[in-house]
Amino acid sequence: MLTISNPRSHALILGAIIVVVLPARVALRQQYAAERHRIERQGRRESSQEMAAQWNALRYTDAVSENVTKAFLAKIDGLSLSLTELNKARLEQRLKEALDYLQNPTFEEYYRLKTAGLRWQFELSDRVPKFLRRSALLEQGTEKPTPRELVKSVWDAINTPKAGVPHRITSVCLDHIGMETSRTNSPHAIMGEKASIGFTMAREAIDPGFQYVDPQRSSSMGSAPELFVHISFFAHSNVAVEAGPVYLSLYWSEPDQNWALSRMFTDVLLRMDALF
Amino acid sequence: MGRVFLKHIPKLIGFIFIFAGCSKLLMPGQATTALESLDIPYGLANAIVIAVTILELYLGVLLILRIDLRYALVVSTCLMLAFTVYIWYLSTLAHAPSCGCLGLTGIFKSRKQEAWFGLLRNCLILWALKLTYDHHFPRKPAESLGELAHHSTTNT
Repeated sequence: MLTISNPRSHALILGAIIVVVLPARVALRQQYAAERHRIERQGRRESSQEMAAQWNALRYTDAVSENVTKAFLAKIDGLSLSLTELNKARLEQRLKEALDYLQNPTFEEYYRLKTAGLRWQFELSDRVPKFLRRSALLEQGTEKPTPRELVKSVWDAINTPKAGVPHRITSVCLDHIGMETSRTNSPHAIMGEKASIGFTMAREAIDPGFQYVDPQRSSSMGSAPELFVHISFFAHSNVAVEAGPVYLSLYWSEPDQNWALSRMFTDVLLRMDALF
Repeated sequence: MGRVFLKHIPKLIGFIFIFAGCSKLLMPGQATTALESLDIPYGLANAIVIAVTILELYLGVLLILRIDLRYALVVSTCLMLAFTVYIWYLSTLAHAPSCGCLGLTGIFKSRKQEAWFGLLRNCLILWALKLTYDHHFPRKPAESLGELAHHSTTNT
């Protein structure tokens, strides 16, 4: 039978320890918070490294290769997406153009992709002014710059610090391509549903402020719901060693009967700053 | 030599407990995070770490000062068994978190290594506790079950 010979001495020891421990816990709160931040940072870093190692181990094909576009198109055929034949045909074309743009981004191609054959409005996005502040356009005090001039200044503001070399995708993994349709283009719909292939931290590509107008949708309540297609794949960029996931979202513009670039998210590991 | 060693084991384990308690008092983050990774809410994880810190310091003092040694050894063995089961469970996880036991988190290449080292360390401490207990509180021959059974059969 376990017995305590002198309960008072035990109580004294326990009491003394509690008197030391509890005030120390209160006094060291700031140190605990700093330690917790350090552990969380370390955990995130380790987790990112682990994910990056898995992504780096995948097979990548040079993005310039014809196979990349073919693989995407094969994926569309293989999936039972709720798309009409016209949707699919246009998607193949738009996807090819979007991939070409991501491999070899130029302002002209970007502007064409965002505007050609589409009804659009332009209103400078909230995310843009910080780039524009540095641009010569506003310094010159131009009274009413055209959308093209505004987009060009955003393009230059992003690309000038990088010695004029746009960030681009250099290779793509053809083994893990995700694709699905959705009624929204929320980050969750794009990266958190069926097309999800994971990410460490997502970075959204900048849309300077293009908006696609559907007069029917804005005037009648009974119009067809919006249609988006989300595509995901792993890629390497020209500015990072690590590979990472890329998520594209395209919007079906009913009056134009074509797909428009909607949103793009890339993993921070790819270090990509791009316009989409 | 062996006897001297056995005599001082309680003190040695006492210092280990004091070190572990102080380490958790100064840097409780790893231990709290390890509990949280098992879906234990932050408040409860914090309370458990405080309780364990107090218990370790208390047992450390008892073992070093040899106050109620039998009681201290038994409670220490129970605590070490609980720690061992806990570390074993952590080691089975795909992404094993650091247990934060002795603040030795920086010296291992991976958390799995740390968990396995923790298991080995705890098994050694348990073995040392058993040896110490047997040394300080040897069983009287009549107390063994075999003896008692023998007596009962011969009496009938």
